[in-house]
Amino acid sequence: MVALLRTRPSQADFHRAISERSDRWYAACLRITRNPDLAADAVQDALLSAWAKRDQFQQSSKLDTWIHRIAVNAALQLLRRQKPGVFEPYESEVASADPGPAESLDAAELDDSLSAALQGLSDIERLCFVLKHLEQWRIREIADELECSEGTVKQAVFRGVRKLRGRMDDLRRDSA
Amino acid sequence: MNDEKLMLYFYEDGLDAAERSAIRERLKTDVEYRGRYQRLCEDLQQLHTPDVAAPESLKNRLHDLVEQSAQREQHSKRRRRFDLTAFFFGVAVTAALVVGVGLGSLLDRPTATPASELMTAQTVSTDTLKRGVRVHFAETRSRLLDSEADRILVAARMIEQNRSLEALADDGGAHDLARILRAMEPVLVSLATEDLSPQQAAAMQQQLIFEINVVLTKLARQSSDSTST
Repeated sequence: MVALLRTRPSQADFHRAISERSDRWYAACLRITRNPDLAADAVQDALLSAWAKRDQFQQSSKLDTWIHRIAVNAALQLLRRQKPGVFEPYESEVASADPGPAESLDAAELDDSLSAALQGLSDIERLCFVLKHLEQWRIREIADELECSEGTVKQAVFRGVRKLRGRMDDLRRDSA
Repeated sequence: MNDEKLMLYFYEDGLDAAERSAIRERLKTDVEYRGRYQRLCEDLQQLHTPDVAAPESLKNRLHDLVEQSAQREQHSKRRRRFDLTAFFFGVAVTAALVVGVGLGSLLDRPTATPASELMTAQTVSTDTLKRGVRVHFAETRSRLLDSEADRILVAARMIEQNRSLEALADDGGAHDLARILRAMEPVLVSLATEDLSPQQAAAMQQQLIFEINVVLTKLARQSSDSTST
């Protein structure tokens, strides 16, 4: 039965997925890495990995969703490699809330109010929020991926949401 | 109960059944709590970012990667197919030669066999070897002319077969054939070198094809001579 569900995607399927969905893959990787080069590398790694493993692709899922998930994982891996301590729970919420110069630059490039607001989160808050809220991962999955407890993930998402809501309130007041 | 629980309730994740049930019940009865939850839902639903477009250069690179990966796969499939053909060809030639030489040396034994029969036996043995060498050279030539075949792999495979045939020729006393085969080896070894420029490889292939043609003509002539005598 499983074998019946497995249909190897063709070269044309991959080209179609790239044309239609590479923006989404890139955007997701950019939210995680906050670095355009790393995001591009993650998407590229993911595509090659998906091509190499395409015999394992199951028809029950969509090719672009499958590549999206691989891309997010690739972005997390690249980020971990570049910033080894990035997934560790923070000591101080305040200390980690200030974006560095490079992060401020990325925020300007992203040119979007929420994206800019995301820069105000610590790495763990941002990653947990992105994976939970935007990528819709389960808390258990996030904890496994980031090698931390579910409690840490819940707290990080909650703090991230609280900061973002605060930012949204500021925007509402400014526009009023 | 704080907003963290309400947030998890919104996500339908991270709460056990009792906690979910408690929140559900309270939302039914507590107006202030329900208002907090509604505001949270509205905010969370607004927390979405538009997708940043991927650079065109990246998209082009992704398309190229798929093209290249597909081409590489096709290439390695061809190599695998060739490998298998060459393997079976090698096995068939070697088996034929072993049988031929074995038969020849059996008939060569100093027994009461008449001299005329001995001569025939030696001829069978040498002819079998020559046939094997002709097939080997013809195969080498056709592989060298096949522009899609992998040069290094073809040369490596041919060196292997060349050496087997050479040993058989020496063992079978066909020293002229063994010499011809030995003379071919340096060119095949050069062809198997990775760092040849395409022009050098093409020139060497042409030289080898020329020499093979000469040898094949000689062998064909010898063969027709021995048949006519």
